[in-house]
Parts: sequence; structure tokens; C-alpha cells
Amino acid sequence: MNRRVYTRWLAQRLKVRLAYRADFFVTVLGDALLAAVGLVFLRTLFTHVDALGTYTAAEVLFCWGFAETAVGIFFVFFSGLWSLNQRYIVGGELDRVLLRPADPYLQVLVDNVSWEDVPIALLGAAVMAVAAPGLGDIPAWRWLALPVLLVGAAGVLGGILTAVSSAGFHLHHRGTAVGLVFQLSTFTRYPIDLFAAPLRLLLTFALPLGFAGFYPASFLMNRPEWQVYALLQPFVGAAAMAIGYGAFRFGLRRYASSGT
Amino acid sequence: MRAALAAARIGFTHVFAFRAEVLIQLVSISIVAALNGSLWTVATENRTSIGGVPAAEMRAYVLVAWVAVSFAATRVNEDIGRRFREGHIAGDLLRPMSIQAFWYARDLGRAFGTLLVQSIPLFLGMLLLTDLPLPSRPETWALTLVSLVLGHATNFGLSFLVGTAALPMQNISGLTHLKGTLVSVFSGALIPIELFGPTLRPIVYALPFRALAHTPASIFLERTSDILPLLGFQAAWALALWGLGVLAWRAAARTITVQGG
Repeated sequence: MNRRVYTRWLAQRLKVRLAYRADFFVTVLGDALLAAVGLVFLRTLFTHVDALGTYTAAEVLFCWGFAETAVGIFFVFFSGLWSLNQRYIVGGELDRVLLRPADPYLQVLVDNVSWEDVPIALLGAAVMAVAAPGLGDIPAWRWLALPVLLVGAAGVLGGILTAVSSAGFHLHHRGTAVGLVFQLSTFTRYPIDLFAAPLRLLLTFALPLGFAGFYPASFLMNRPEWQVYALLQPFVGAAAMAIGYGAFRFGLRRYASSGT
Repeated sequence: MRAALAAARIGFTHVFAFRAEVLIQLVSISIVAALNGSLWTVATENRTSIGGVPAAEMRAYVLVAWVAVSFAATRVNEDIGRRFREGHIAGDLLRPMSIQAFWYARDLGRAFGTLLVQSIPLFLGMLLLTDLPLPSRPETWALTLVSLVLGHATNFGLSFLVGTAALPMQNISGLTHLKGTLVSVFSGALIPIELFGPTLRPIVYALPFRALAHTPASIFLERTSDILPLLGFQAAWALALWGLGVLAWRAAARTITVQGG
């Protein structure tokens, strides 16, 4: 399918969502509330302690803002993963998708694009802006890498969660661990060396969610010890997407229609 | 009563039907517990207290509160929303008991199944790996169980209201999201309520959400000997929300449109 179809489809998504107007605004309100309370919490914590480990309030706040922005981008484009199992695999909605001459994975994503989550990304960006002056002397060119790192972070989240939700093709359950794996990603908003070694290994290698938060964010802090991880991050993002897509295609071969 | 028991049994056995799912969930909540535990260990290291709470108590609190919320968690709102959207709600209306009582009994059964396969293993793991203190008074165990059941009832009340909103609102994904947010922030499951500022704290103490995690965890850790007011707080909210649920359902059911066929 050509680009115009997708453009129209994305515009249609916004209209569909606005059809349930009350729900749309409740969603936006809920997101804003969650973000606001997260911020209030961080501020409260730092009125009790001066630093988390060796990390200053500005660094933790920046890391939080970076992860929030990445999560916002992820929510906008990958919300289809939440319903992949229930609606598409168990519910048989994939039948309709497979009849169309376009990539099934792309269809599932585009059909669930969630414009109402754009404010999350904007809020994260605002938090980064507030925290940035406290980060110390960071060469200006590093800031040019920020968009790449954000896209990479959304790719890490999207790839990992695509792979996890594609397990639904093989398990035939009503729910998968998508929400729970996503919950783990909220911890990558904190400097990773605050965690014990097994958890650090888990978030770096097994489920590399660290590349969606702390590692790329550290590129804009004076933290040379993490630089290698930050530089690797775009490749981790691309690899995660490739693995996720592969897992989806592999699972698709196991798809049996519900017959409805 | 027999109908309620049958409903509870459905919920209970349902837990064991999805073994892989249960295992994945157990692993995930254990990892979250470990992450949250180490975060608070760092935040409280080299300190005797934080926000007026002794550091050791705070570390134990975040672990126990997480176990408590694993028991109280419910997906009733999504279940009701889905049954409405798919038209199955018509069948639910024909059952020989009120929809609210049926879903409560069923979800309580499910919660006890979850207790066996998730909350208790999670708790035992914490006992093995951390220096979690056990209650000094034997009756604390029983009081904690009562508090857990009341916390679940409170969460059920909230979830039933959200589920009922599916009737007028049709799509409740946003509302479900909002409720999940409020629970995770204000229940004390991830953030100890004591750390909220002086303006926010009284509000959070009055809201029902702390019944899910903060109240049972505080009872288990014997942070106060004055337990009756805590249980009373939970029971009051559970009953108030139940009453609201009755009213909301009555109002919403009149407008019901069963879609499809």
C-alpha cells in the first residue's frame, strides 16, 4: 500500500478516538496526572535525600524526562501490542488484517495509533528541558544526538514488547506479560548502577530495557563510564525491532483463525 | 449463598487454567519487587530514617506493600467492559444473583487463587532473600488477612464503578488506565505515602486507594497497635463503593443497549 493510504489511516485514527470523546479526555487527564504525581514524588524524594547513590537530582530528573518522552513515542505508535493477543489472535481479528495487501504487523500498529498519548512525550520533553541546565557542561553537539536516542529508545521498547506479545501466537492465552514487562521499563528511569548486579544484567542483556532509559540519557550527563552503552543504543534499538518483527512473522505462521 | 460459592469457585479455578501466564506474572512481579527493593535500599543507605520513617521499616514496607497489592489487583473493570462490548452482559443480567454480587464472589475466588500461586510464593522469596521482619504477635497474621480481603473489596468497588461506566461511555480504556494510575500512585504500593508532602498527604490518607496496599502492609509490619480504625477505614470505603456501585449500575442498566447478536 502506498504512503497516502497510511497517512489517511493515521488521520482516521484521530477521528475514531475522538468519537468517544469522554474517554479520550479521561485518558489524557490520567496520563497528565500520572506524570505530575511522578514528578511530585521525585521532588519529594529529593527534599529528603540530596542524591540517589552518586546521582544528583538534575540527573535523575533528566533521566526520568528522557524515559517519559520515549514511552510517549512508544505509546503513540505501538499501542496495538496491548490488544494483539486478546483482540487479534484469540479474537480472530487478524483474519481481516491478513486479507489486506499490506504488511500485517504494520497494519496492527497503524490501526491502533494512539494520538492521545502525544502529551506524554511533550511532558517528558518539558521535564528534560527543566533538568538540562543542572547537568553540568555538556558539549552542544551531544544534544544533536537526542532525537536519534529517543527514536532508538522507542525502538527498544517497541521491539522487546513486540517479541513478548508475539508469544501470544504460541500460548493461546487471554493475556500475556506485555503489561508486566512494560512495568519493568519504568525502572530504567533510574540510574542502572543503583540496582544489584543480576538486575543490571537483566536490564542490559536479557530484556535490554536499560537502552530505553538510563543508557541513552547518560549520553547527556558527565558519565564517561556509560558512554559505550549510549553509543551502542541505536544499534540495540534496530536489533530489537528486527527481533520483534521476526518473532511476529514467526508467530504468524502459527496463527489459526478463531473461525468467527 | 450457594450461587456465590459457585461463582467464587469459578474464579478460583480459573487462575489455575492459565499456568504459563501465572508463571510469567510471578517472575515479573518478583523482578519489580527486587528493583523497587534495591531502589529504596539505595535511597535509604547511610540514613537512619526517611520522611520520619525508620530506614529499615521503609525497606520492609515497600516489599510487603507490593505483596499486598498483588492480592488486591483485579481486572473486573476490563472484564465487565469487555462483556458489555461483546454483548455477553445480556446473559449476566439473567443470572440468579445481582451482577455485582456475582462478580464480587467470582473475583474474591480469583484473588485467593492468586494468593496461593503469586502472593505467597513472592512473600516466601522475600523471606529467603531479605531480612524481612515477621510479625511478633500471632494475631497479626489473621488481621492482615482480614485487611487484605477488605483491600480487595475496596479495589473491587472501584473497578466495578469503572466497569459500569462502560455502559454510558462504551469505551473505558482511558478510565481503566486512569484508575490503574491512581492505584499505583496513591495506594502506597510503589511509593510510601509518608513521603508525600504535607499538602498531598492528608488527601491521600482520605482517598480509598491506600486500603489496597498501605493499610494491610502497615498492619503486617505492626507499625501501629491501633488496628481497628485501619480496618474500619477499609470497611467504610468498601461499603461506600459497593453502595455507589448499586446506584451506578441501576442508573446505567436502564440505558443498556445490547449490541450484536
